[in-house]
Amino acid sequence: MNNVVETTNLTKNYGNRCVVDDLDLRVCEGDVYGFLGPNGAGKSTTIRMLTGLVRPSSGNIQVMGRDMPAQRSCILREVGALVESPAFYKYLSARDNLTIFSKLSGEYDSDHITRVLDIVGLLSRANDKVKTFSHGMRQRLGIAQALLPSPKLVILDEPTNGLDPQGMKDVRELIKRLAHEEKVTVFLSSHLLNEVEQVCTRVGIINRGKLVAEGDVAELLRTEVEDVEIKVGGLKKTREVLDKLQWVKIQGESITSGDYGTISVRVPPEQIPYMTRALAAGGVDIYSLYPKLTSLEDLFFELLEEDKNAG
Amino acid sequence: MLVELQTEFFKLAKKPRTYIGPSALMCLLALIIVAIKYGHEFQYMQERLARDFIISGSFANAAFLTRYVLLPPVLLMFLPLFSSMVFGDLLAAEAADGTLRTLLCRPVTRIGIAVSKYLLGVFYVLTLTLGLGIAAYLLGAVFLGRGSLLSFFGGIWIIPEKAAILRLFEVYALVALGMVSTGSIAFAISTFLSNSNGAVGGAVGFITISAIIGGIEFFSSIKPYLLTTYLLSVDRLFTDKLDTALYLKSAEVFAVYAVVALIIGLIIFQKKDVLA
Repeated sequence: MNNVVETTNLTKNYGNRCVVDDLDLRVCEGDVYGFLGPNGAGKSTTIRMLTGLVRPSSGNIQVMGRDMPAQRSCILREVGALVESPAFYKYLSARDNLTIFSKLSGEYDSDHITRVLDIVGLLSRANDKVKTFSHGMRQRLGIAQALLPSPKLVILDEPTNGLDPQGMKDVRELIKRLAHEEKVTVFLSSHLLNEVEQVCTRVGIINRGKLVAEGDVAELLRTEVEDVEIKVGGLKKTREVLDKLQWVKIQGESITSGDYGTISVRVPPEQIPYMTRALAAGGVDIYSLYPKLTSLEDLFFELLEEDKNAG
Repeated sequence: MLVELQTEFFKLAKKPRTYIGPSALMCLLALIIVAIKYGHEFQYMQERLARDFIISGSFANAAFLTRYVLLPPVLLMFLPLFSSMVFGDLLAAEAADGTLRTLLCRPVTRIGIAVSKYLLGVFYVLTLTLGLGIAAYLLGAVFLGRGSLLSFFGGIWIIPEKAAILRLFEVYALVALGMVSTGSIAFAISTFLSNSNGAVGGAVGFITISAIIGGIEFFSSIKPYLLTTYLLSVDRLFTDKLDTALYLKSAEVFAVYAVVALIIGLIIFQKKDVLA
C-alpha cells in the first residue's frame, strides 16, 4: 500500500528547544491514522510542517509522493486540513467563507459547497455570519472547509474540540464515512484516546517530539497475556488452586463479603480454559469470569511511562 | 494572483472597518469647513489681507480647503497613522485571527497572498488620499465657493483656479505615494511581528524618529534620504510654478522606500513559520 504521508528524520527546533525530534511517520493510503500525544508533545508542530505552515529544521516530508514544502501548492490541491481551532472571517457568512477558500483552491463549485455544508449539518445556517456561530458550529465549518478540495488526504487537528457529545459522535461517523465510502485517508490528531480507538485503524504515539509507538490499533492492543477478573465464592480455595498453576499470576483481589470476592489474574489467553477447569475441579464456585481488555489509554500511559523512565 | 486579488477586494468590500476611515476623513473635512467658514482666525486673516491687497471673494475657498488638509497635522499624523493601520493590518490581523493559517493551507503561494494584500493596501490608500482631495474640493466648492489658490510659502502666491486644481491633483498624487511608502514600512514590520499594533507603532515611530532626526543639524548628511524630508516639503510645491526637481526627487524617495519595504516584507513572509 502506498505511503500517503512519510516523514524521515523530521526535526524542528525553535532556538535550542527541539520540538520534533527525528520523527519517522508512515501513513498509508486508506488509513485513519490517529496521532496521539500529550500537550506539548509536538503534534501541532508536526501537522504545521505537514501542511507547509512551518519549515522543518531538518529531515524530509513526502505527502502523496511529493516533497513538502518544495511542492507545497501541488500537494495542497489534494489535501484538506483543519489546523488547530477553526479560523474564519467572522463578518462573512459560512457560504462566503467557503467560497473564498474554494476559489483559492481553484475549484469553485457552488453545488459542492452546498454539499459539504450539508455533510456537516450547516446548510440551514449557510447564509448566517460566522460571528453568530457557536464554537461547535465553527468546528463543523472547519471540517467543511477541509472537505472543499475533494481531498485524498484530510488532516484534522483535534476536530471534536468544543463539540457536544452528539456533535462528537457525528464527526466520528463522518470520519468513518470519509474513509470507507469516499476512500479518503485521514490523519487525525487527538488527545481523546477513546476517540482514536473508535475511529482509527493505525496510530502513532508521540512524546517529547519523538515517536514512541506506531502501528495498527489492533496489533498494538494485542497482548501475549490477558488480565482476567474472576468473581468467586471461596477466595482462599481459589488462591490455593491458582498458586499451583505456574502460568497464572495473581494481580490482586477484593473481598465482597466473607469468602466471596473478585480476584484479578494475568494469564496467557490460550490457558484460560485450563485455568477455568482447574478452578472447577478444585471446588471453586465461579460466578463470572471476564477479560479486562487493554485499552489504548492503558497502552498510551504505559508507553509514556516507559519513555519517561528511558529519558 | 488574480483570484487572490479578487478575494481580497471581496473581503475589503464586506468588512465594516473598511468604511470607518473614509467616514473619519469626511468628519474631519466637515470640521475644517466649519472652522474656516465660522472661525475668527480665518475672518481675521481675510481682514488682514484686505488691508494690503484687493481681494475679490474669499481666499478661504475650495482650493484653500484642499490645500489646507495637506498641512502637517493631517499630513504628518493622521494620514501616516491611517495608512500604517491599513497596511499593518493586512497580514498581521489575519495572522492574529488565525485566518492566515486557513488561507495558507490552500494551494496558494505565500508571495501571491502577500502581494495581493499589498496591492489592496495600495489601492485603498491611493483611493482614500485622492478621494480626500476630491471630497475636500467638492465640499469646499459647495460650502465655501471656488476661486484661485492663495498659498503662503516664503511669500504669498496666487495660483489661478485651473492651475490650482492641476497642482492640487499633482501634490495629492505625490502625497498618496508617500502614504504608500509609510504603509509599506508598516507592512514590512507586520510580516515578522504578526501583530498589527506593533506594525502601526513601528511605522509611526519610524516617521516620528525620521522627522526628529531631519531637524537635527548633526544628521544633515542623511536628511536627503529621509521620508519625512519630502513629506514636510509639500509646502514648497505650492509656489507659482511647480518645483519639478523636488517633485520628482520626492516621488523617487517615496517609491524607493515602498519597494524596499515591500521586498523586505516579502522575503520575511516567504520564510516565516506560521505559528499563530
